[in-house]
Amino acid sequence: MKKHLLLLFCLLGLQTITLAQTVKQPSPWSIGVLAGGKTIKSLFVYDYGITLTKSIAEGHRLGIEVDYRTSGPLLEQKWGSYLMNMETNIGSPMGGINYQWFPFVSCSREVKSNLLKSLKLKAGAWYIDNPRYEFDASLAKPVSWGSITFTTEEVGSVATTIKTHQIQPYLGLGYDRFYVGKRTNISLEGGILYQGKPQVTMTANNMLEQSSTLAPILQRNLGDYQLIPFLQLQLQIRL
Amino acid sequence: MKKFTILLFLGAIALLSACRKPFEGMTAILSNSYIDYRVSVQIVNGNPKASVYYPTNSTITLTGDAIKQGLIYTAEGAKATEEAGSVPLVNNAVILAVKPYVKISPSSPLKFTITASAPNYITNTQDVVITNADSLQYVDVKLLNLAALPTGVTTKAETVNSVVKGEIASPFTVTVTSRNTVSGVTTTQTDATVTFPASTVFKDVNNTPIVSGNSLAINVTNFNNGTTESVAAFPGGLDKVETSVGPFSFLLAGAVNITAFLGTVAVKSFSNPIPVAIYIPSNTFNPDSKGLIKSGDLVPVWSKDEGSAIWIKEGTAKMEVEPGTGRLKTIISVTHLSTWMVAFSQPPCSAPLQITYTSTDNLVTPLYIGVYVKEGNAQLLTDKVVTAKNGDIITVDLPQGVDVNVKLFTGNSSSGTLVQTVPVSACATSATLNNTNVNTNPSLFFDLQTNCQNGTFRYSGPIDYRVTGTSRWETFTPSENGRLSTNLLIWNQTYDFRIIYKGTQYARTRQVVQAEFRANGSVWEYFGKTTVKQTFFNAPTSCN
Repeated sequence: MKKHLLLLFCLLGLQTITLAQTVKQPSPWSIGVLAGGKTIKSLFVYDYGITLTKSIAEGHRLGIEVDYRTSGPLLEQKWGSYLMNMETNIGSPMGGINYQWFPFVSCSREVKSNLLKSLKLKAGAWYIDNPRYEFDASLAKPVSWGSITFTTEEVGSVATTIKTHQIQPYLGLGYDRFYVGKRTNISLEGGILYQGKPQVTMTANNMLEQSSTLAPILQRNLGDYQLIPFLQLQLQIRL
Repeated sequence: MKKFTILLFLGAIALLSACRKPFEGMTAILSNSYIDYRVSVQIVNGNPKASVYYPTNSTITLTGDAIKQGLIYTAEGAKATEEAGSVPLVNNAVILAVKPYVKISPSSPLKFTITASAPNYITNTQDVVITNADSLQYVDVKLLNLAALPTGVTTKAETVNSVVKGEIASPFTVTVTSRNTVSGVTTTQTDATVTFPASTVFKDVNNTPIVSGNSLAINVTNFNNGTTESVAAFPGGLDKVETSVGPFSFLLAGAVNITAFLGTVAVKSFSNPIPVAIYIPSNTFNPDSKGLIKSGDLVPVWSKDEGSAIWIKEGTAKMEVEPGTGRLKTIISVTHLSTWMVAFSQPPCSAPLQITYTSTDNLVTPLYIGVYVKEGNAQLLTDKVVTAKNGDIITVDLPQGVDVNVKLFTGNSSSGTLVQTVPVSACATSATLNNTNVNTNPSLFFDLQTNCQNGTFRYSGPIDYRVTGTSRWETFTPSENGRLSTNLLIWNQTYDFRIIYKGTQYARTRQVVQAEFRANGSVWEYFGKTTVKQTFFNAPTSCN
């Protein structure tokens, strides 16, 4: 019980204690490469880039990152009974800024576990230069019309654009051994980002021309995806 | 802290699992809009007043360049060939389509010929020309039933029982007459006579004397150029048809169709030509003299075998006055049995007449365009049924050297309301038809999306309709990607609607009840009886 109270006091008083104290570190800077991803059901979007982080106080770090977002080239989806091939065109430079708090680092007297000391809360925001998911959906199979078979190109396609917010804040948890004293470590982070309510536009041609009227349905469905999870893996080196 | 972490992750998972799938409820919508050119074909009785308007057991055969090139399909995607039966009719109708993604050059329209036949009807042919502007055209092929002919068409059947070894011993004449009423006095007048001289030998299609049988059944049908019904039902049509000397449009002076059977064998020719007298209305316009036809005028003579689409030039005939009656007639020498006509042949103008249609609304509506000779007895030269809206261009081919009146009727025949008559000079290239009639019917909007087990379909193409209880299908506003706006319907009336699709007639009967529509500005949008928007009629029911 006493141990838990001390831990609670430590956590509550952390800001004043840590700001008042100056802990010497070999270097507050670290640099790393990162790779991550987020998912909207079966759509996976990948990010990769570099990050630069500075410890501003014991258990507190600020980071910036420069990334590039992309996705797999093809996604298969069923639109009713029709299997659709969706060629994706998702690609955008990203920039991010974040704040990381290691709540147990400043409580070294109460917390001996490296595991706890490696836990962090992370808050930040990404700036997406082109916050659009673009798909070109076409039937996976050709269509027969009597003795004529229309190729999927002749059947046409539905160009779909899903636009999200350009600035996307996020909140997450992570496992990061930076304050345990390792010079090189791999950190794992996960959380939820807010991308806003996606706006959908569709244009279609040929036989699929009328499918553009499905845009409101997709937009309504995507209204559930304003908050989406992400996962990120970093390899960082203390400078 | 560990619990907090676990809770956060569990929350994220719960958040995601609660979401709808992004593509939930989305069904790819396919339309048949890949068809750029359609021809809605009906086989009908050439007599618009006939009690049986749709000849039973009608069949069609398609021939011509576009068929040979494999460019014409049925709406269900079967390639039309020149073989009999390759294009089946559904309740006397079929939708033909140009092969998808084929572009028609403005200078090279597609052409083919429909040959239609039915038991107890005279086989007829109809040339079809599809230009790059003809996205949807309506073609009625008219068949004549000798038992119920339209006004202006008269017939006479005779039987001679004294034929021996294919030869008659004494001459006989078949006289076709009609009853003519002038100032309340009805008289019988001769329309045509066919005289078989003594010793005439009857031959079959192989030019071989028919030696079996001694009973000769002859049927002579006369076509008077003075009535629109007669001209409109004329076998093969008269507008821009193929002849042995090039394409021409005909101004009909007179015509006969002669058939004969010796026993059970069809007679095709004779040992010697037979004289046929055709009486010509005196108010027939002569485009060569630019006046009424008169004695001494020379008129080309043409023949066309049943089922053939090509008229053969057979020389010229000279007009003469019949002593005693003062009526104009001409006598031609007939060498074989087929349709023979005396007609002025006018080459087509180098460019079509482009008619700009204007109306007080923007609704697509069926229209009948009739082109009549301006002079003489105002003979029908050509006609066309189209569906058009304000600003649309309607093209019509005109013959050279003939001033015309272009008449606009509502509906799909000249029995509709005459909206406007516009005089047009020979080979003019532009005209305007203004529909200033105010239609008091409600403007109705229909969404005809069909939801099937395997998808969603939006129909593009023609629709027929009729007031329930009547027999004739009329042209309705066509559907464009499953949508249409129309003012052809009136409140509380019950109608039959039909679509011919994939070899099946999808027919629905619906009453137009105002309570089932919701006003959206000046347009009433169909909603249905429930709180969830319904489809007025869903057809077809399969999306394959």
